[in-house]
Amino acid sequence: MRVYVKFYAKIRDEIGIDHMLLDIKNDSSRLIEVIREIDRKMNKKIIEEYYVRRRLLISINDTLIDIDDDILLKDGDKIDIMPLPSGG
Amino acid sequence: MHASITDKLSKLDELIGKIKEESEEIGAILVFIGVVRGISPLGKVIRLEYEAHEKLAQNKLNEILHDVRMKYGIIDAIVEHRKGSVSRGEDIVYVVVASRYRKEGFKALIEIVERLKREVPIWKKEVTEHGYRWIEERGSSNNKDEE
Repeated sequence: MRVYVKFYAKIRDEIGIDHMLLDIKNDSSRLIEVIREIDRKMNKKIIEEYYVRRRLLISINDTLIDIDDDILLKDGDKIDIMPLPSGG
Repeated sequence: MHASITDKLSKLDELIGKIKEESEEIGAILVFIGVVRGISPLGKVIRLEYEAHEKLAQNKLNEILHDVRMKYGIIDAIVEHRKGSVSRGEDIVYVVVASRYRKEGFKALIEIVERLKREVPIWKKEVTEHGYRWIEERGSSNNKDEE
């Protein structure tokens, strides 16, 4: 499967790219597996660190998800990876 | 109820005038103005740079306004939040709440502002004379000044 991943704000600066197309061997994949694949591809352990510390927001196809849910991603999904808000 | 992420804020007196026209039952109008502070732990602030996931931010702001209206029974509320570069001293966000009485208006105003800061996917980068930093959400160990 192939998913589109976009990074925002501080996370984008830390990972060093705005977005990526990610190819994964399986037809579907759990969120944590996708996160590990991003870090592996970038050769950095950044996104998993944010995920473990619960310091990010993730949306799938423009819908915010609860990262504690057992999310299964599929081919064509658009994933937004964002830091916690700091507006106002 | 109206919320927007915008390059240019409306004039505040026009927002107040607009909300006042909503109902003759309005007895209180409360306003919050967020302003770019001129000083930070890094020194003199030059500007804040705002970034948002605009679709999610808009949806979340609409959800917050709906929730607060249902919870406190306010008559109307408007939120406008800047995006892009905002210089020191400039206004960042307006929250205007119209209610029958002041008590529910104050509660609603506080809840909208607090939820905006915690839940709406908007981020700010602080640019100072000594460099820049992304501001993290409240409760972060390296941003006690944001508490």
